[in-house]
Amino acid sequence: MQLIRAQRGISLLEMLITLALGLVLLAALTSVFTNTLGVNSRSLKASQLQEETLATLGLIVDDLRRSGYTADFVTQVVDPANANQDFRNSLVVSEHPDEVINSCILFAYDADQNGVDSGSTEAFGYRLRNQQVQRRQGGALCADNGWQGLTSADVIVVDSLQFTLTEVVTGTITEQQVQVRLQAHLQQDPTLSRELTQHVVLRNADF
Amino acid sequence: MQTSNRGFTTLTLTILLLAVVIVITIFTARFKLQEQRILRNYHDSREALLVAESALEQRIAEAAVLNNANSSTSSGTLAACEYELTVNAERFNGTPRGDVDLAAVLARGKAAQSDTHREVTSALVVLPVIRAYPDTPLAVKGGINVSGNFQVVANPNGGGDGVPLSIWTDGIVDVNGSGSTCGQQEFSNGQCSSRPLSERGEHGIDILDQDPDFPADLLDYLFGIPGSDWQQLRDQAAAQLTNCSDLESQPSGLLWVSGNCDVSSNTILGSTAAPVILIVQDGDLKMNGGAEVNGLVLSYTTPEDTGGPYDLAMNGGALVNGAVLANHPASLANGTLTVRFDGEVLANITNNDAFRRVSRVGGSWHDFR
Repeated sequence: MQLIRAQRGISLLEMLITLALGLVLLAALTSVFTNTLGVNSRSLKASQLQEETLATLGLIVDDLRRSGYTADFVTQVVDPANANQDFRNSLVVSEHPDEVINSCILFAYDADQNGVDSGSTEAFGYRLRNQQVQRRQGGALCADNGWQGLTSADVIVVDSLQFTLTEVVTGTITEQQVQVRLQAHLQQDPTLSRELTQHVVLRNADF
Repeated sequence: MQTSNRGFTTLTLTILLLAVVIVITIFTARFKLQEQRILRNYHDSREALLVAESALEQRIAEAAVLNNANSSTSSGTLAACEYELTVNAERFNGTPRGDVDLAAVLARGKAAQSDTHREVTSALVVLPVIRAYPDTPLAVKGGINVSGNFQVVANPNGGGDGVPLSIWTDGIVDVNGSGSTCGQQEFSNGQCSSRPLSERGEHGIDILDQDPDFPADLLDYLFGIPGSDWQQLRDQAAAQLTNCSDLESQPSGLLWVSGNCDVSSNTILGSTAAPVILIVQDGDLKMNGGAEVNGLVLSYTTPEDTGGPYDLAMNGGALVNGAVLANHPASLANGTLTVRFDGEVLANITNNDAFRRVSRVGGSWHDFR
């Protein structure tokens, strides 16, 4: 008798309550789960955007800082009359005709350290073109073709790239600075956007 | 039997969901870790660059205070980051800016948490304030009128090898008093008046007057700064004064006096080893009995000044070891004045650290090899 009672099972009411509780738990778990997935994916996207913009800006800024360097600086001091002026005042802020104003910068520095301007291999520049940051190739000018894409249009869409040349006077010291402003959003998710601004002191401006 | 297997579906579902969550979490963690590594590298690189740049700027500031940039190596710590500094200096003589030292300063900074390091190099130039010292003990623009007793001791090679030079002007040298110019040897032997090169009424070869090649802008000729920008030179002065009552307590170097300068009796200014450049701007210069200046004295009238003409008066036994210059006609009156050309004093004016200034060399900054 006792054995039969032990195997009797649960009542309908008990089963319904168990089922209901199970369903509620499952629903809660599913919602947490999908939420985590969403946050994860958004966080990954935000990181990707952050990395892309930071790396792009870092590259531009590091390169821009070298603008005007010449390995021949000794001659500039010791024998100014015979020193070449190759890299002097090479910095130009302009734009591609179809893009916004001041979205292209051209400059030069003595990358191979031979003291003279070796032409296109020492001509550098960055511009905004078709919502992409591009790097200058082969001495091309702002309006020319043949620039190389730096950002991938499948990943980020560059809304704005702007170069502003300023002179900052602190006491008796005058510094030439370039302000670089980069604004971009993710191609997959336009709500995710980043705006970064950095000031570059042109160390090789004439003192 | 059925009852014992009752939780199977729930358990399987839960395990499955848990497994998916774990897989996604691991994937995200790995991604985040990788991302953190990238960001850390980026941060370390920035940190190393900042430290290198700070160390470089610090070294440049030190050089500017000391007025020299000698070869050296040093190291230190800045905000828990190590840095090394190497200065390589080289001397270039006879450049258009005089004898200059060019120093390349290399700063190497290391990130605090890793081995990431960055190097930056910038060059400094140490220029003499004076481009080249004058070849003559007395140079005056517009002519000299001398009354009283004076002695000018010539530069033995001022007019070329073996050709003495004592007075240089684009105007006329009018000697009225009992004055003479003589050689260094004669002066030392006390024979300046008895064995002169030139004296009243007798101009020897050591007086170069009415010279069309006399510099139109004396400030530019001496310091490489156009007369209209004289403030630039004043700003480089070791001391800016409004009178000469307290000259002896001033340091060796460039002393700039705006207005009248009355050098008191028996004041001894500068020495052979540590001479001075005394510039009197728009004012009378008066040296009283026994006053002695070792160095270069310039009486300077600024282009915009209307208060002139100014006097150059030297009384009873005043002595200048070096050179006296003026960019306006000068009357050397009264008492006994001796101007003795002293090559050693003048050489120290171009070489001493007190007369050198550090500047950055534009176009020298780089962070790659």
